[in-house]
Order: sequence, then C-alpha cells, then structure tokens
Amino acid sequence: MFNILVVDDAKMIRRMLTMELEKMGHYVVAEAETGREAIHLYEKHSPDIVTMDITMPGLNGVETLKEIKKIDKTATIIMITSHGEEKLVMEAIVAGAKGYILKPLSKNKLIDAILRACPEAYGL
Amino acid sequence: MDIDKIKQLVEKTKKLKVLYVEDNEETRQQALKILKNFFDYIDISFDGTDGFQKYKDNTNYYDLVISDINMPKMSGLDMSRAIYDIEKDQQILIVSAYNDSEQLQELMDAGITNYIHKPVKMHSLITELQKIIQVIDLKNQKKQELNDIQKLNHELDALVDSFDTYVIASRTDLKGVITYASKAYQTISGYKETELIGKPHNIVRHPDMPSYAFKEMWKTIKNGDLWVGEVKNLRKDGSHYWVKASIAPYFDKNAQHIGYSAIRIDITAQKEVEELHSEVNNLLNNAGQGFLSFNENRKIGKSFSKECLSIFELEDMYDQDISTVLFGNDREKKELFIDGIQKASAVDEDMLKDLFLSLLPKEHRINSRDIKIEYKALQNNFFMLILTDITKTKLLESKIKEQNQIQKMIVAVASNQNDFIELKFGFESFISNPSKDLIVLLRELHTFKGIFAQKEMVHIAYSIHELESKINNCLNESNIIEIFNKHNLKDIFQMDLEIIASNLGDEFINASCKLNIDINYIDTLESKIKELESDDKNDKLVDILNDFEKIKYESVYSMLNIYPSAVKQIAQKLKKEVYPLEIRGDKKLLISPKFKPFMKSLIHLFNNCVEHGIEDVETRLENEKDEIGTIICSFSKYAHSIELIIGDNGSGIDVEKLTQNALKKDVAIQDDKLMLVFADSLSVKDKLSITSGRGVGMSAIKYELDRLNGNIEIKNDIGYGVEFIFTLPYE
Repeated sequence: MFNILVVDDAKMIRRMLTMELEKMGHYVVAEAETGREAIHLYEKHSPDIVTMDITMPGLNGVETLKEIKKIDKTATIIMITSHGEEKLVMEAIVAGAKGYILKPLSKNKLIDAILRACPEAYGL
Repeated sequence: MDIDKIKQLVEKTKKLKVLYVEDNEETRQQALKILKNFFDYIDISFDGTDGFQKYKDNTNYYDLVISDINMPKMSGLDMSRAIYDIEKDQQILIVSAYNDSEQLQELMDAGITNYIHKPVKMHSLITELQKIIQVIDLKNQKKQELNDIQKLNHELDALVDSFDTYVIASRTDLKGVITYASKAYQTISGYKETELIGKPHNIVRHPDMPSYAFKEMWKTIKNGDLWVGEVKNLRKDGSHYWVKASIAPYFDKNAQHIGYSAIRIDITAQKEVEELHSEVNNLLNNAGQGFLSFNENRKIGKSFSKECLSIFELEDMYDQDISTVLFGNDREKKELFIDGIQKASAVDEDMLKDLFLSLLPKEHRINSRDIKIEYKALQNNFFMLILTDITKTKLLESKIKEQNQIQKMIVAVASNQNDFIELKFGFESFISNPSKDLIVLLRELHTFKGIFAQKEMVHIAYSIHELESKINNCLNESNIIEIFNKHNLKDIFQMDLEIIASNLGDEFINASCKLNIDINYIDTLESKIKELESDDKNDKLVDILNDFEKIKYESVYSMLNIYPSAVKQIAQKLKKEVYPLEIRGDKKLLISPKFKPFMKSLIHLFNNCVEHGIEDVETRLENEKDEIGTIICSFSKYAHSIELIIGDNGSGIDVEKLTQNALKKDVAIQDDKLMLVFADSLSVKDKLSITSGRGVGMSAIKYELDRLNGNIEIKNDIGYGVEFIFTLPYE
C-alpha cells in the first residue's frame, strides 16, 4: 500500500522491519543505514512513509528528520525508539514526526503507528 | 431701576408671544416703537373681534395680550372677558385712556390686574411687565413642576410594574396569611393571584424543607429582625424551585407592625449545579482513584478527588505545582513531565497532545505506594491525571513472576537429573576450592553463570554476576580471594537447592548420577554369564552374577513408601483418624525384585489395620485412647533375614469372631487360632465392602510369604492393637 523507507543502523532491525512491512502489503523502496543515506534515498524515492531509528551514529534520527522535512515538509516520519529516549521522541514530534513505536517491535505496533500517521489513507 | 434689571427683564420678555390690539393707528405705531424693545413676537389686531378671533385660533399661544379698551365691534373689556372665559389665567395688559376710578373698578371686576395709561410710556410698561413676568414665571414653574411630577409618576409606575413582574415578592399579615403576591411570585409558584391571596404562606412549603428551618425564621422575624435564607418551595404542579429569601417585618404608614414582607431570588439553577457538583464529587471521591486537573502552568485546580490527598499525604493541593507534588525529587521524571506538558500545551491538535502525553512517566513510587499514572488532555489547555494504586497488583505480579521462574527452574532441572547432579557437585567443589589463578577463576565463574542461567537458576546466576562485577572493579588482585569468600555464593546456592528440594524431593538433590539401562539388556548379560558358569566354574563369575542380580535390586524403603498415601486415602474414605504412616528403616537397604509381590500384597494388611484395627473416634475416646490412631511400619536387617513389623494401636483381632466364622464356613482350625486371619475365604467382617470382606486379602499375603519361605508372628493385644512381625530370609 505505502512506499516505505526504513532507516536504522542495525541490519537485523532493518531486515525485521522490511519483512514485517512487506508482509503487511507495503513496499519497502529502500533501507538506509545512516542519516545521510536516508536523506539521499528520500530525495531519490520520495516514499510515503519513513521509519526512523532515533539513535544512530552520525546524524541522529531527529536531525535526519529535520533535514528531510526541509526537503519535503509534508514527509511522514515515524520514529523507532527504545525506553528511556522520551525526550528525543518529544523533540522529534515537535520537529514534525507523525508518531513513534516503542521497542520491542511488533506487528500490531506497526499497524497502529501507520494507521495513526496516515488516517486519510484508510478513509478516516 | 438699573440697566441690569431692565436687561434681565427684556431677556425674559423677548421670548413672550404678544397679541396687541389697538384700533387707533397713531397710538398703535407709537406703542409698537416701545413694545418692540421688549417683545420679539408681536401679533397685531385692529379691533376686539379680530383680536378675540386671533386669540381663539391660537389658544395657549399668547403669553400676553395687550389691548386698548375703546374699540369698535368689541371693546377691550369685552374681549378680555371673553378671553378669560377661555383661559382664566391669561395675562392681559390693558392700555387705558381714562384714569377714573369707575373704569378702574370695572377693570378689576373683570379680573384685569394689569393696566397702563395711554400713551404707553417706558417706565410704567416696565413696572407692569415686571409684575406680568413674575406671574408668567410662576405659572411656568408650576407647569414644569407638574411635568416633573408626572414624569416621576410614570417612572414610578414603570418601576412598580417591573417590580411586580420580576421580583418574587409577597406580603403577609402577622399570622402569615398572604396579602400580596407579585406577578413574578404567581409565575414561579404556578398559582394565580386569587389562589394566593388569603391563603397561608406555607402553601408553597416543600416537604423536603425541615421544620426547624421555618421555626428559626419565625423566631427571627417575630423578633423584628431580617431573616435571609435558602428555601425549597413547592410549585402548584408538584415540581420544586429554590429561592434565596429576605423576609422582614412590614409596617403600615403609621409605623404599625402589620405583617411581613419578603423578596426572593430564584436560585434553582445554582442549586441544581450544586447538587450535581456534590454528586459528581461523591462519585470521584469514592472511586478509589485519584483524579485531579492542572493547567498549562502546572498549577493544580480546585477540584480533585480525596484519594489524591491520601496518595500524596497532603492536606490540600490547590494551586501547587503538580510536577513537584507528583515527582518530588526524581529529577529525570520531573523534567520529562514538565517538558511534555509544555509541548502538549503548545499544540492545538488533540492527536499531537496525546502523543506527547503518551511519553510521560506512567508509573511512580510515592510514599511507599506504587502509583499508575494516566494522562488526558482537556479543553483550554487543561490536563487531567488519573492515579491508581497498583501496589498490590505489582506485588501479585512479582509473586507470579517469581512463581513462574521457580517453575521454569524446576522443569529445567528435573528434565535432566544427571546434569543437575553433576552441576551441583561441580559447583560445590569449586566454591570450597576456588582456583588461585585469577583468569581461571573468572572463566569458571563465567561458565557456571552460564550453566545456571540455562537451568533457570536465576538467584545463583545473578549472584555470580554481581561477584564478577565486584571482582572486575577491584584494583588489587590480592583482595579478590577475600571478595570471593565474603560474597558467600554457598548460601545463595543453598537457597535455590532448597526450592528444588521442596519441589522435587530431597532424594532428587542427594542422588548420585544414574544411568538408565534397559532391563532386557541386563537379563541378556545375566544369561550369558550363567551359560559361562556351567562350563567353567569360577568364583569370580559367581560374584559378578550376584552383582548383576544386585543391579536389579530396589530399596525396601521405596517399596514400602507407597503405603503412607494409601493409608491416608483409606482412612479418608472410611472416615477414620490415623496419624500419617512413617516407614522406618535403612533407606539404603536393597532387596531383590522377588520380594516385590509380597511387598505389594501388604496393601491388604494396611487396609485391615485401618478398617478393622483402628476404631472410630468415639470408640477410641470412650476407651480413653488417643482419638487419632497410629499405624507403624518398620524393617531391620539381621545377619540372614529382614524383619518387617506392621502394626496398629487399634482394637486388636477378635479371635472369637474369627473362630466362629471358621466353624460356620467349615474351615480347619489350627492351634494358633490367630492364624485364622490368613485363612482363605475367612473374614471377621460379615459384610462385603469395596475394601474388604472377601477373605482373600490376608491369605494373599500368606501365600507370598510362604513363597519367600518367610515367617509370621502375630502379637495380638485385644483392645490395644496388634503387631504382625514378618521374617524374610535374606543374605
């Protein structure tokens, strides 16, 4: 349904997310390992949704989000976060993130987060 | 007369409307010259008729009529009279040519008070005008006053009307009978005026109002004081309304106390809000949860449920900063909270607000209670907190978690006993003699930690983990052994062992490593060796054969250990009270499986002990025995035999009855009549029961005993119990 860009510095997480998202019927246009890569891939593919890990080496999730928002202010970005990173998540939301998912990841959490981020697509 | 006064006069006269009637032209012209100094508005007529006509056509217009007397058609005098008929207060100034008193009298009779002589002269005109102006002024003044009074009256009427329509007012006489009820009163009470006047005031009394309220009211107003209070009243249709009433004594115009007057305000709406408010408060206060609200500046509002005060141990919370009240010294949570609320207040979208709120701390320990915190965004940037005490829940959860962990551990350990035994021995020897080489020590600790974690033995695994950290933080190598010993892994390990023992039994822990071997394999080996023996007699082989035999041996104790629970069951069924059966004897004593059938047949004996041996509680008490019976079972090894004693402290065997039955059934009687107990198809019992009566049980025991070449001795103490002493040959 949606074209999704997966951003996470851990390969395992990227793989897991891609698998789950594709099972749900979405299409993962690309995977990014760093913030820089994410920005570049966003420009290239213009995905509908971006899943963004909050803590990454180099440009972190929030900084990357801000950069992407500069390119496309309507970008829909969902943060992937662990417990204890609440302050960063708040910063992300202020910067325009459409929601967040708390690890450990699960199918239900993904469905829920995407639904909240793009309610219009579901006719809500 | 000074100039100023004249000027003043002229000021006034100029405004006057004058009618000047004079037939003589010359006189007229001459007069006008002077009159024009005083009047701006002068109408002229040449004769009485015309003058009168003009006057008639303009009633109330002329302030002053100046007229000659002698005129054609109508004289000034006649004209004046006619004018007076229309307006008796009309100001008329006669200009008279004559001076005689007769004419003057005529003038006065006609009612004319102002006159001057011809020709019109300034000073006399002034004098008369002064008089005239005075009168006119007075008249005007009076008119004005009348107007004012009328205006006031109108206003008063409007006020009275307003009062009557909008103020709920009434008056009563001294006895409380209604003498006046305003329109508003009628409207709100639902009664018409006729239904109120003459009726007692309590026509609107509501049954919900307590009578002491009215007693107090009457006392106050009878004393001459003002009474103010809230009253619930009954409408004609049965519904109610609330008023705030002011009732005071009422006096007539002679200051006589003639009754009471009251005015009221309708406060029904406020009362409803109050009731609703207290109902809601009641609900909130009894919900067992803390509810409170605060604004974007984190100031707590006025309304909060009582539970909050108990949670925070405060007397009041209004206007305090919720972040401090809630999180006190926990800086991290407090900062997160403040940040979150700030950000939630800064956005308008509910979804975004909820998103921020979802990141706030969901739980906190306050005053030794675990409190769950839920957040909701309200309108106008207010927020609500719902606090729930989950201390008990958490305790339960941790208990369940603990139980689950124990279960996991038991399963992990039980599924491989040998592994566990190995581990136990290995760890115990490690603790008692840790390696002096630090690297080896750490490695072994780490390995044990891993294995214990595998076996879900979390206490000891965690303890090792702590020890590892301590060692890693230690700078001085020589202290490490000290730290190791101080840490006391042994006690923690013992804890876990005790849990396992209580679940799986002491034997489980204390067993030695075992091997599961198929019995067929042993039998095969045995027969192989037996074949060997017949060819080649060899002591050693005989020994080995014996050893093989012994592999199959089982412990006497374990064979007998099935009976305590059997005895318990039988006792329960038969409603007998028996102390738990204890098997006494060397647990290590092993015997060949050939003893098993005999051991198994003993169920009949135990059964008999409970059923026939142990009496019911009443009988035992009557016989001054312990109400709970005792069954004993013990075994000991002698040089060539094993002695097994099974007995009870019941009623003993009734030999008489046994003998009788034997005679009946034509059974041979031996010398030792007690042995009849073992005779086939013989029983002390007359009737059948599930557990006994067929007479087969005990004989089965004898049969098996004989097969083993064993002996039985029965010690019977009638009334006190019986003992069966079995001797089984054994090497």
